[in-house]
Amino acid sequence: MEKLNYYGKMLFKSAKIIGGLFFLISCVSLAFADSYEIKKVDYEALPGSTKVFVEISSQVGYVVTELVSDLTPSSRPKLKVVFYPAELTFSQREIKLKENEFIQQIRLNQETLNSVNVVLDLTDKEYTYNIYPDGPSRMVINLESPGRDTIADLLRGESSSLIPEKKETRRIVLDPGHGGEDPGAIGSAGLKEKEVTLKVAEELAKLLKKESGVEVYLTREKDQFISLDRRAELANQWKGDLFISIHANAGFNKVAHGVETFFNSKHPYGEGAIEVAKRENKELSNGISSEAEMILWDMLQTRYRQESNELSHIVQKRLSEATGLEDRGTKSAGFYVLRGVAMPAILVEIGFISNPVEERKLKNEDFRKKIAQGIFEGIKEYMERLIE
Amino acid sequence: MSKKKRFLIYIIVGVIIFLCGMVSSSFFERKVYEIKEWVSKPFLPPQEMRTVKLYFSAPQENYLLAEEREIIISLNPNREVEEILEELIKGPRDITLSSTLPSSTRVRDVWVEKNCIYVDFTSSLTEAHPGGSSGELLTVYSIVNTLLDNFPSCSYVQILIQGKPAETLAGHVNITEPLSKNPDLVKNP
Repeated sequence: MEKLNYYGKMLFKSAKIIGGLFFLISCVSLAFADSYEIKKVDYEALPGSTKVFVEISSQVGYVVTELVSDLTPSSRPKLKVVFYPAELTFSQREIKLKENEFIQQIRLNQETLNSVNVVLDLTDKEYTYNIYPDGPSRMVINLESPGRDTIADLLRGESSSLIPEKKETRRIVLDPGHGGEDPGAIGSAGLKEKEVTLKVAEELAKLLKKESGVEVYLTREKDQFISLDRRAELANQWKGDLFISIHANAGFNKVAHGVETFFNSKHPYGEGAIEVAKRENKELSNGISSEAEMILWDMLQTRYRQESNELSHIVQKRLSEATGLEDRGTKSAGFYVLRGVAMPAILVEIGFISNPVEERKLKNEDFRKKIAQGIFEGIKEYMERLIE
Repeated sequence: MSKKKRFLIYIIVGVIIFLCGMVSSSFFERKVYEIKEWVSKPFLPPQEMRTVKLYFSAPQENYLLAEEREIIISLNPNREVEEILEELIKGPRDITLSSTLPSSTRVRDVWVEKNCIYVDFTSSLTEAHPGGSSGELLTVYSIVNTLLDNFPSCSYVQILIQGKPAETLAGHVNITEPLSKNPDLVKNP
């Protein structure tokens, strides 16, 4: 009997130990659980756009509601973004913006235990908004003036904006590849593609600005992330006549070298795809389906395929001559940044950053000037041929 | 200790052994089956193999070159697609050629719908990619051309990353939509 009693005690003891372990494990897992803190909210006002930065410790979901002002004089249009799951640890609850184009003030509050409201009290100015992550711990709410939407024009059948006009000035859009959180390819000595592309684009812009009747636009002027869609959209809003995307090449094999120029390949859809897309759009009450949008984006560049092809050949020839780098020729393929550009467009690969010899050359300022000179001569020759 | 108590303990031990046996019998049954299968395996007829064509990068990363491999024919075509992709990730045997996928990339899932092969890769395909239009173009079309050459009944390949379509692998080539073969990138010896 005593023995049974003893076993009973042992059982009770081990149950206690197991219970204690469980408690410990749950404590540890709680301590390691992800936190979703909104640590800071800030903004940046630029002419034509205002960005609100929400510093958050991990990527979380969000829901956006646009609230239109009613007729009471005190009410304002609002943009409400609910982040979930999120915990507000930022001390400020109100940020007043002085004389901002779009936003009067930003208000923050912990709506429920795990959701946070970010409410933007807006001005009466027309706007479009865009929400995107910028790195792993920051969300950006971007407000800007609505541009001319080429896709919407295409759907309405207003193709007039797509036919090149005969005019004196030529607008050239330069697109320095990558930027910000996206470094592009990185060489073995540490040179980043995003740095080279921006420097060459700046050099090329200088040369082009000296020409009479040429206006130059850059899709980015500093080390900043811009989505591929946005780059194409900017070029269309500026109504560019030529789009030159500048990149540095890379491959798995370090021996690969030379310069190469790409243009967009023909869209894979059959004749009448645009009609299908238009019809589909009519059937949908709330905007355009993603498939239809995809087709329309591709249609935009397809109209300029012949011009883009010609431009790619001329630039490739002049670029390889000016730099003395191996001429790898031109190729066409489906390039994301080119597909939505409604003007002749090419993507120039100015040398292999993955090749140590070419990486060293790309690092050299004089060599970058040669690259810019080569592309410049190609563009000039193409424009001269147009006038003839 | 009285005889009665000792008898009781024997009965309890007997019941416990019986219960343990009941619980673990299915496990032993499976083990025995596995051992039997393992012993009888060498007597199975040899597996049927087929020759497939894999595309790797030429040294200058300007076009694709084919290399042949033998793979085991499977009743499940998805398994064959996976096997081909695994060979592609392993890289070429010819040392003058280059891999077109990072060696850390894994295939998460493969399926066929209508005439399109869907291949889902781990995010290493984008994260460990060297970047560059030439590198990216060859990665995309080594996958697409290899699969469509070996499965002629399909005409498109949709590349997915972690289960979702992506804009590009490294900022250049559009992979949002299913892609068809690009014969211009292939150089025949």
